[in-house]
Amino acid sequence: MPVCSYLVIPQRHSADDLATRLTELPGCDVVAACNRDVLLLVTDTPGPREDRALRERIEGMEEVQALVLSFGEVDPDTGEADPLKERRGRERLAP
Amino acid sequence: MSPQDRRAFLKRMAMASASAAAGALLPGVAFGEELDRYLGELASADDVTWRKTPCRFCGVGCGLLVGVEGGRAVAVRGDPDSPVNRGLACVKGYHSVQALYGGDRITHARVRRGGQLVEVPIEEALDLVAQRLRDTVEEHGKDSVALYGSGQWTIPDGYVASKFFKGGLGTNNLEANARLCMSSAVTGFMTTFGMDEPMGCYEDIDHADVFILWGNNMAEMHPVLFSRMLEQRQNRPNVRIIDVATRTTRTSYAADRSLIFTPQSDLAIANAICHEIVRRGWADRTFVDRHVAFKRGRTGIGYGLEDDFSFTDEARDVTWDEYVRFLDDYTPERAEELSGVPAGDIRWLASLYGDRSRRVMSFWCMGVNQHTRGTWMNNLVYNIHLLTGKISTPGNSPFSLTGQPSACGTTREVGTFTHRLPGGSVTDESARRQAAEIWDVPEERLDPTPTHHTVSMFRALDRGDIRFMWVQVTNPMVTLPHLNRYREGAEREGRFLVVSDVYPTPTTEVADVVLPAAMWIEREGLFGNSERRTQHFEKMLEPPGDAMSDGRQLIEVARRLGLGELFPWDESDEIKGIWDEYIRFHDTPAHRMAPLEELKDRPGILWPYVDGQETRWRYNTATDPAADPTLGEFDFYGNPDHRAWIWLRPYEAPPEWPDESYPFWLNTGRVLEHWHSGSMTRRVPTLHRAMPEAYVEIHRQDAQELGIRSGEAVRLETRRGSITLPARIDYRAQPPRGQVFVPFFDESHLINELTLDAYCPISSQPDYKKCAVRIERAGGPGAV
Repeated sequence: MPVCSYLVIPQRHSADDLATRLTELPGCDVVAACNRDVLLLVTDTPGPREDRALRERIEGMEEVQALVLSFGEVDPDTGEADPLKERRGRERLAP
Repeated sequence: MSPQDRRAFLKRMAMASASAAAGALLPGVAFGEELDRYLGELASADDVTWRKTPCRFCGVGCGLLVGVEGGRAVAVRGDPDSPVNRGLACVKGYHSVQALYGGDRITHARVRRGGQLVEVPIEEALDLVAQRLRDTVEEHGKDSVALYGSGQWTIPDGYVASKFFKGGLGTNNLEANARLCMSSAVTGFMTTFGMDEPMGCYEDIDHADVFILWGNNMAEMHPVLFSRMLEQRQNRPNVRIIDVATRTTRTSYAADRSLIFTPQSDLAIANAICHEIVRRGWADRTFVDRHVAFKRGRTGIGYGLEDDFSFTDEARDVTWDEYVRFLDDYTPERAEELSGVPAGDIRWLASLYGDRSRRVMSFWCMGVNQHTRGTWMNNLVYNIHLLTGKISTPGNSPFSLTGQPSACGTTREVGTFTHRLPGGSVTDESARRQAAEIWDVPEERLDPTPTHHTVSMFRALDRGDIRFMWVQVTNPMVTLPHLNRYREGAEREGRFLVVSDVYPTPTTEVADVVLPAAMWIEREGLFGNSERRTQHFEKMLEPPGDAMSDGRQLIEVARRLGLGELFPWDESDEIKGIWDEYIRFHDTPAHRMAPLEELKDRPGILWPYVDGQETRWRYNTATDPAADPTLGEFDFYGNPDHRAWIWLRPYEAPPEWPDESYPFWLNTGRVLEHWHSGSMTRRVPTLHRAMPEAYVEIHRQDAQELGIRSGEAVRLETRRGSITLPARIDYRAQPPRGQVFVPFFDESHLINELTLDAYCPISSQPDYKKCAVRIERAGGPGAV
C-alpha cells in the first residue's frame, strides 16, 4: 500500500496542463506552487506493482521534465527494507 | 486509527515532506492556502498525540511536533508556536522520527570477545566498563582515562559527564566533538566580548536589510533560517543577501550576489572591508570611542601539527591610529590579489556595512570556524560590526551559527571541554570553588590544569598516554581529520574503547564495549540552540531493548565506582534534579536560566531569563538586565574594561597549499539530506535515496583537462591517504577551478583519511576546509 510524494518539475509553460492531467489520475493529489513552476504530487496505490506503473506513466507524460521522489511509505505495517543493508557489505556486530 | 485514517494521515505527511523538499531545492517557493487546506487535518487524527520537541538535528533548534500512536512516532510537523521556525521544517526535520526505526538499531550491549562483539546483558557490560575504568586509573593515573562526547548530548547528559569526570574522577580529560565545529566561535566570542554566545537572536532576521553570509551554505545547512531570510526579501524590496564563499552553492544561486574567494583569504577581505570603512569615514567613532578597545595579539602562531604544540596568545593595547596603520596593508587591491575578489566588489561590501541607513546581519558557521585562523576570522567579522556600531540592536547582528542541536546548550554552557567547568574555566579558582560547593566535592579534586583538546586527546590515545576512552553520541572514526592515524591509535594493544550509540558505525567497529543508547525523544532532555534558546522535550517513547540515555549510563558506571553520592536522584525525577542543580552555576543576571516547569510549557526560552523576561539583545542597556545603563547605550560587561575588543589580526597563509604534486584544494563539508556522519539519516529511506553516496565535485574545465566524466571513478590523494569515489560535474554545487569538494557523511568513502589535522592555535579547532590534493581518473564505473 505505497504512499509516495514527489516534486514534479513541468516542462516550460506546462504547469497548469500537467496539474490537470495529474489530478485526473486515480490516487493522485496535486498542489501547485504559487510562484514557481513546480508541483507537489502525492500518490496512493494498492501495491508496489501499481506504484511502479503509475510512476512510469507519469514519467512518460510529455509535460514532465523531472520527477523527484520526496517521501516513501512509512507505514509500520508494511515497512521498508533497511536501505543500507545492501551497501554495508559486512556485519559489524556479531548476531 | 482506522486504516482509512492512516492512509489519509500518511498522505498528508507525504505532502508535507514534498513541500519541505521543494523549499530546500527552490528557496522561497510558496504553495499558499491550497497546501494549508491539504495539511489542515494532519493534526486532527484522534489516536495520535502530539508533543513538542526541538529537532534532533542541527543547531537552528526548530520546534517540532511529534505525533505518537501506539507507542510509535508516526509523524512530524513544524511547531507553529515555535518562534524559531514558525511551523516550518526542513527535510531532515520532517523525516527525523524515521531515524529511530532503522533495522539495525543497537538494542543490547556488546562486548568484544575473541575479536568479535557479542551480545551480553547490560549489567554485565556496565560492570566491565566500571572495572576497566577503575583498573586503568589505578595502573596509569586519573589522566589515562577520557570521555569524548558531543554537541548532541542533552544538557543533563553533558552535566552528568562533567560532574562524573571532573568532580568525581578529578580528570580534565573531557572533550566533545563541538571542538571540531565551533570552538573557534567560542574563542572568537571570548576574545572579543569576554563572554560566549551571540548577543542577538533570530528575531534579527525580521529587522535586517542586508544579510552577508561568510562561507556559509545556509540553504543546505540551515534551511529554515534561510527560508526566513528569503521571506524577508520577498516582503521587503530593500533586502539583499550576499554570499561570500569558496564555492558556488544553492545559497549562491538564491543570493543577490555571490563572491567567490581563494581559501584562507577571507582574512584579507574582512580587513579590507575595515580599511574601506575607515578610509571612507563610515566608522561610528562615537560608538568606538565609548565602547571599543583595540588589541594586538601574537602573529606567526603556527598550525598545531606537532604533538607537543602549545600556544598562548597575548593581548597588547594599541590605539586607533595603530589600528588604522595596520589596515594600510589591506587595501581592496591587496585583498583582491590574495582572494581573487575584485577590489570594486570588496568596496561594495564595505559600503553595505558602512551605510548607516542599513541594518546588517552577518552569518557564518563552518567556513569561518574550521579554519587554521578561525578565532581570528571570528574576531574580524566582529571588528566590522564594532567599527560601524552595528551590533546588539534589532537587525544589527553578527551571528555565529552552530551545527549541532546542543553545541551551545551542552558543550558551551555546561562546559564539556577540558578547560571548562559549568561556571567558568578550570584555571579560575572561583569557578573551581563554586563547582566544589555545588557538587559537594573537595576543591582539591578539581584539577586546575586543562589536559587535552580533541585532536590532542586522540594523539594521546595513539601514544598510549590515554588508555581508556568512552565515546558517546558521536562518530570520531568518520569525523576526525587525518583519520588513519587516530583509527590505528584506537586499535592499538592496551587501549580500551567504550562506545555508546544507536547504530553500528565505524567507531563501534573498533570498540571493546558497545552500549545501546536511548535516542532523542526516547528519554527526557533539554537542548540549547544557536540563539541561546533552551528547549525541553519529554520522553515520548520507550527506548528499544536495554537502551538507556547516555547520562544514565554514566551514572550507572559512577555508582559502580563508589561515586553514587554525586547523583542522588531517582530515575523518575532525575532530569529535574539535574536541571535544578545545574542552573545554580548560572544564577546571575548575565546567564540566568528558566525553571524547568516553564521550559516544559513553552517552545523554548532565551537566556538570560530574569524576572520572567527573555533577553533578546545582550549588552544593550535597554534590553539586557546585566548591562549597566550608566555606561550609555551599551555595556560589554564580559570584559573587565566593559568594552568590546577590536583585534589586529593579519592574513596568514594556510599550512598546506596546492603545489605541483598536489595541485588542487580539497574542501569538505555536509549536504542537506544527511546529518554529519550519516549514521542516522542514512537509515531514513527517503534521505538515503536522495543522497545515497559521497562524491567529488570538480569544475567542468578541470574535469575535461583530466579526462574525467561525471559519474566516473576518481582517485583523490593527499599526503595522508587516498580514496576513490565518483565524480560529479555541474551537480548540486560547483567549486571554482583548482578546487574539489567532498561531503563527509558517507562511511564508505572516508574523506577524513585525507584531511589535515592542522588547527587554529587559539581554539584548537581543525581546518577541514583546505588542504592540497591530487586527483586522477581511477578507471571503471563511478559506483566504487
